[in-house]
Order: sequence, then structure tokens, then C-alpha cells
Amino acid sequence: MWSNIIDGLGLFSSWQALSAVLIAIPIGLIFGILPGLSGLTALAILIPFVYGMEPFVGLAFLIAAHAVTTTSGALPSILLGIPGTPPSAATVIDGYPLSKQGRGGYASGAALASSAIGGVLGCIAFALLIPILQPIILSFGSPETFILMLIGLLFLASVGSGSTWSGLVAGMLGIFLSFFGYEAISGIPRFWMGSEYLLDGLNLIPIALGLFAVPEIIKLIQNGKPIASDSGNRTIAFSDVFLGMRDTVKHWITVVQSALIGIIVGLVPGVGGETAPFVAYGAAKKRSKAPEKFGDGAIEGVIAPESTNNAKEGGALVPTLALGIPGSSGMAVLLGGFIVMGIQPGPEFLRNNADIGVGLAAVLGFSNVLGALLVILFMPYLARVTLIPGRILAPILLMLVVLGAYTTHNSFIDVVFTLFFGLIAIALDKAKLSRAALLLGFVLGAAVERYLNLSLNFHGPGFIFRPITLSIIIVAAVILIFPYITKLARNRP
Amino acid sequence: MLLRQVFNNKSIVKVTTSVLLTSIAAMAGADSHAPLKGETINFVVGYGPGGGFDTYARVLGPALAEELEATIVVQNMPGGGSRTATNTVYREDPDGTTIYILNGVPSALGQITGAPGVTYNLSEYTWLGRVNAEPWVLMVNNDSPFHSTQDLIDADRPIVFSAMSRADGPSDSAAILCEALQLECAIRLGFSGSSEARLAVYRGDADGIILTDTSINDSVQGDQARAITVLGNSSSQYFPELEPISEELELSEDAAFWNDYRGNVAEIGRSIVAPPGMSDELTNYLRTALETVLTDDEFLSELADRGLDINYISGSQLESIVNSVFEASKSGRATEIENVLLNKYF
Repeated sequence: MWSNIIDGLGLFSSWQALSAVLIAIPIGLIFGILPGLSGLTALAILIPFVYGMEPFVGLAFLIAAHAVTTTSGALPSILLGIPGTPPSAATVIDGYPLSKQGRGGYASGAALASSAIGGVLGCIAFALLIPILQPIILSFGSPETFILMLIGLLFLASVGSGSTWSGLVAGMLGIFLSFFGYEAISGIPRFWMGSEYLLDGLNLIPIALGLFAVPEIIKLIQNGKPIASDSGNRTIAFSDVFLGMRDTVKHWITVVQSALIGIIVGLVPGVGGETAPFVAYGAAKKRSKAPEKFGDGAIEGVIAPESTNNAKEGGALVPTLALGIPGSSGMAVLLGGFIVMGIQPGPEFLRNNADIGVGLAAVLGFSNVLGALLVILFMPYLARVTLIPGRILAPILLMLVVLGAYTTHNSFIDVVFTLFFGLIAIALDKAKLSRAALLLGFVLGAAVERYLNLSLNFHGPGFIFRPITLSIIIVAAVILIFPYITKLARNRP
Repeated sequence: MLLRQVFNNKSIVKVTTSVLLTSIAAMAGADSHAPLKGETINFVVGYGPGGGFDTYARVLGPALAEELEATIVVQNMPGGGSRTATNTVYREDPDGTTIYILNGVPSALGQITGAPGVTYNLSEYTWLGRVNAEPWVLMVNNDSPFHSTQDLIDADRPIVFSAMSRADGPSDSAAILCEALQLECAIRLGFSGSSEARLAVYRGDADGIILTDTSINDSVQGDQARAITVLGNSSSQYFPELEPISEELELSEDAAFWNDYRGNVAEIGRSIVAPPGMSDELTNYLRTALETVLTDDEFLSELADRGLDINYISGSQLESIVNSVFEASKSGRATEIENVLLNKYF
């Protein structure tokens, strides 16, 4: 055990691995900042570069680049209201209002600190779980995945900034959109209208970019003013960033709770990484003393999704390395990278190469911390983007959004759908319906249907009485009901 | 160090050299012995970057470019489980500037079962040569009572298979195995990918899954499952101890029909094709170039080092395999084939 830890740290601290990580981190940060380009894209583009590298060095390079995309992905979400990566969409809900109030530096400091802490907690969880990985993953079947997804849907109401209905109605629209394309069991495509594009269903990136980027760009064009024009505060200083970091530490329970949500979601293959930040956001709102501030610039609304985003990658490494089953879409591409380097992840691999597992955990932790530090260093300069006049910023953003949408599948139809969902987003705003809830409904809808069908096919209706399924239901019920009980208790004379 | 590693990397040097050479060749003008000299050829992949098909295309591209004295650009065209690319390339001009690495099993099954969105006809494609084909192998859970094909035949309960959707590879091979051996089976669909469907076998939710021998080998090496049956008529390099069922069992005429049918679909494998209607001269030129690349010992050993197997057959051989698959589908058994592939065991 100890020898594996020492050997693993030895692998990590070799100068080849360290230089690979140091090169990968800025690359990953750039991928995260550009809207539409995700960790998945970063891995797909970087894999050809690892041919010929030592296996550990190549893996360290890929994991470091992938890990930090969500760190910098928070910045466009906060500063511009445009998610840099789809998992950062939940950060927009409170991060962007803070920027409009001239507190972009403060929100970014909180996001970066919680990303770093969440990332480190994720890598610690991964390292601790190495000896007991296989039984844990195998105990999560379709019923357990279904229940986790269903709990995600319960948070639809929470992510709406207005009334409960604002979240529920938009969420249902999102669920409807998730039904486009092949139905999981029959293989029959729904609502495809004879279009090959729709056979696979609607793509996530055009929806995320359309919903969040297009309306903000239009607003910038309309008023021509800088994003932070609502506030008289024209300077962004390190002190704002440090204030955000300090408040993250103050809300440490939210950070830990969100990281745990991320780790669990990452552990279960099939639960999309886009779900976790919304669930963490909903959970943070539930336990907040001032839930009414969520949606208007509550700092916990930034801390929760960012901690989750970075923590979940530690969790997602678990099934990837332990079983060769990717825990997220990024990990699926990473698995390709492993195979290119002649490594076949699985129980045999971890038994014989536990040192590589420990070394990769160290890479993950180190990248999360260094990635956040690097961004903090440049933060006051990066945050000045909120002071650029809208008429200059809008065309640049539009170009980035079109490029981001196009590069997903090299398809102009994705660009058309981005603009289409931009119009939907404007209509949602007019109707006071939550854009974030629509995205969450879209991400969860098809998965809930798939895992419900699988659970019924394999286990029949009694699947909800499986021990882990039942335990998850009880824990979720307690978390959901607890705030009401405490509120009742407080109101009693 | 990293830069040095990059420059020490043979494939990258080879790519760069071929790009330089082809650019110089382009400047020299066209040549009747090299009709594609200086041209830019789109090498279409029906999936996103990073997967098996993409890797093969990116490795073969530079070698083929060198042979053709052309520039080859890999173009990822994901969508519909490669159906978008198969439809699109089918409509392209057969002038040699578009080639496509086709996934034979889902493309053939999509056409046979009349899947929505299929607008291509594989029989009309120009078949240039096969890169590789892998036998499909049944793996079962380590604790399952099945240790051999005979155990499946003797089973006193339905055998549960996991798969993703109808005619996706795992589900149709399971259906055909059940039909050929007259097994009582239940094929459970709905997994989002083969990784998840495989996990259901590790977990014991399903008895088994049928995948290519390369995929099964990973699970067997990891001691997560055991391989018991090889479908079709070719043995597996990874499981030499297992005979294909055509040799393992004395198959009835009907069972042999089903086994040959699925075996032939699998034989299409990963093939390189061009749009329909290509001139004989250009077809032969491209076929010869591909054969030169895929039978070059030095290149093959470089690929083997990366774990990429080549199992080349010529374009004309491939064409006759494809024709035999579609002739069987048009025979009096067409309805029966469709019923087995889509309904009977689901």
C-alpha cells in the first residue's frame, strides 16, 4: 500500500510528468474559456499528441488538460453569462448577476477556490476508493442510476429563479426536447421529421450556447454598454478575488456537500456530468438560509456547481480505471487515450499498477490547484472583459459562439440550432421561465426514461426495493423534507 | 523533452513528410499514372475523433497519401451511429476525392432491416478493400452456469443477453445465435453503449453479451467475464482454444444458414469504400494503392505495435461478400430474417 503511494508520487514528480502537466494546464484552461469547446473536445484534439510518450506521462498530460477545463469554464459563465463548457451552465444562474453588479472578480474568486477545493476532494476520494472500487461500482445498477436521475429532476423547481412553476414548466419543455431522436428500447426515432440530424436527438452544445449565449449577446448589441454597467464599481482588483475565496471557505459545508454530489455522480457510469452541478445548486439552495437570493447573485449558487464540476472528474476516473467503463463522456475519450498507449484499464490493471492510479490522483489534485492559481493570477485582467463596451464585445462573442457550435460536429446545422435556441431563450425570459431548468430537463429526460425502462426490463417494478435504491430514496426524502421541518420547528412558539 | 518526443515519433514525422511530399507533388501537376496526384482526398469517418475508426483513418491516411501522391484529410462526420456519413458519402461524386472507412455490421443491418433514415444501398458502393474484421464472441458472467456452447443448448431457463438497440451488433448476433441453436432467449435492450451493456454482464443482470473478440478480450484478460462461443466461420486470434460454432457443432442446414449469414455480415468489418459509380480505372488504381499499403510488412508491424490489427481482403472479394449478404436478404427468407433480427427474441 505505502510502496504504491510512494511509487505513485515518484511517477508524478518525475520531470517528464511534471513538464507534461505544466504544458497541459494552460491548454486546458484555454479550452475551458472558449464557449462550446469542452474538456471532451480538448481530449479528442490532444490524444494524437500523446503517441510515443511514456504511458504515465501521456495520461498525466491528458488528465491535467481535461481537469482544468471546468475551472476556467466558470469564467465566461460568470463574466459573460455564457457557459464555457456545458457543465458550467449552472454557474451562470448566480455568477452572471454578480458580474452585472460589478462583482465579477468576487464571483470568480469564489468559483476558482471552490473548483480547486472540489477538485482536491475528488482526487482524495478517488485515491481512497482505489482498494474498494469494483464492488462499489458494480452495486450501482440501472435502478440506482434511475433513482439518482429522478432526484436530479426533483431539483428542476429549485433552479428556477422565480416561482416553482418557472422551473417546472421550463423543465418539462426540456424533457420534451430530450425525446427527439432514437427511442432507447425500440430504436424508433421520434420527432425526427425525416432529418438525419435529428436521428440522434438534439445536441447539447447548441442548446446550452443558444439558451445562455445568444440572449446575452443580443442584450449587449441592444444597449451597447459594458456588462458591469449596472454598477458604479469600475475597478476589479485582487482584493475582490480574495474576498470571493474567503467566502468560499466560509461556506465550506456547501463546498463539501457539492463535492460529494459530484463524486457520487462521477462514480456512476451513465449519469451525465452536466447533471451534477444542477443537483448541487438545488441542494445548496435547499440548505441556504436565504434561498430567495438564489438567481439574483447568491455566492453559494456559484460555489456549489463549481465545487461539483471539478470533484466529479475524480469520481469519474474510478469506473474508467477500475472497470474500463467510462464515468463521463470525457472519460470515454480518455479511455481511447489509454488504449492508444497500450494500457487496458480494468481490475487487472489496477492490481498491477496501483502506483499509476495514485500518480494520476496526484496529477488531478495538482492540476486543479495550479489551474485555479494560474487563473487567479490573471483574474483582474480577465475580469476587465466586463468593462468592454457591448458594441465591441458582442461581435467577438458571436464569432466565438458560432465557432464553438460549429466545431462540435463540424456542422452548420448546429449553428442554426444555436440561433434557434437563442430565440427560445428570449421567449423563455419574456415568459419568466427558467432557462437553466430547461437545460436540466433536457439532460435528464432521456436518461430517466432509459434507466426506468432498463430497471423494469431487468428487475420488474420491485426494483425500488433494492437496498441501495431504497437507501438513496430515504436519504433524498430526508434532505428534501429537512428544511421544511426545521422551518416548522423555528416558527413554533 | 516533449518536443523531442514529438519529433522522435515516427508517425508524426511520416505525416509531415507525406504532407511536404504531396505538396511538392501537387506543384508538379497531374500525371496519368497517378490520377489523384496533387488532389486533396477527404477520408470520411462516421464517428467523432478518438474512437477506433478515427484512429485507423488517421494512421492509414498518411500512408495512403504517400502511395497516391495526394493529400488526405480525415473528416469526422458523426451522427446516427455512422448512418449520416454512409448516406452522405453515397451521394458524393465518385471522382476519387472522397473515400470512407465504413462500419460494415451496422451499415448492412440498417439496410437489411429498413431502419429509418437509411438512404444508401451498400451493394452500389465502390468497395476498395477491407482494413480488418473481427469475429464476434459471446462472453458470460464469471458466475454464470454456462461454460460452453453446449451448456447454452442444455439451458433450462431463458438466457438473458444485454444490448443497446435492435440490429446494433450485439442484439442481432444474439438473436441469430438463439435462432441458429434454437435457444430460449431474452435480449434486453436500452443501454446507452457497449460499455454499459457489458457492465450489466459483470454485475450479473444479464448472462452474456456478444461483441467483437477485441472487446471481449479486454474483459477476459481483466478476469471480469469468460468467453465461451465464437460466431461465424472464422476463429479468433485472441481465443484460439475456442472453435467457431461451424466447427464446434454439427450444424443443421438451417443453423448453418443463420451462422453463415451473420458471419458474412461480420466479414464486411471495417472497409474502405468510395461513392457508387466510380470508373473501373480509378477503382483499380485505388484498390491497388490500398493493397500496397495494407500488405506492407513494415507498416503492418508499426500498426501491430499500436494494437491495430489489419486483416486485409481485396475490394473484389469484399464486393462478393456484400452481394451474398444482400442476395440472402432478398431471398424467400427476407421476412424471417427481419423477424429474427427485430422481434422474435426481444
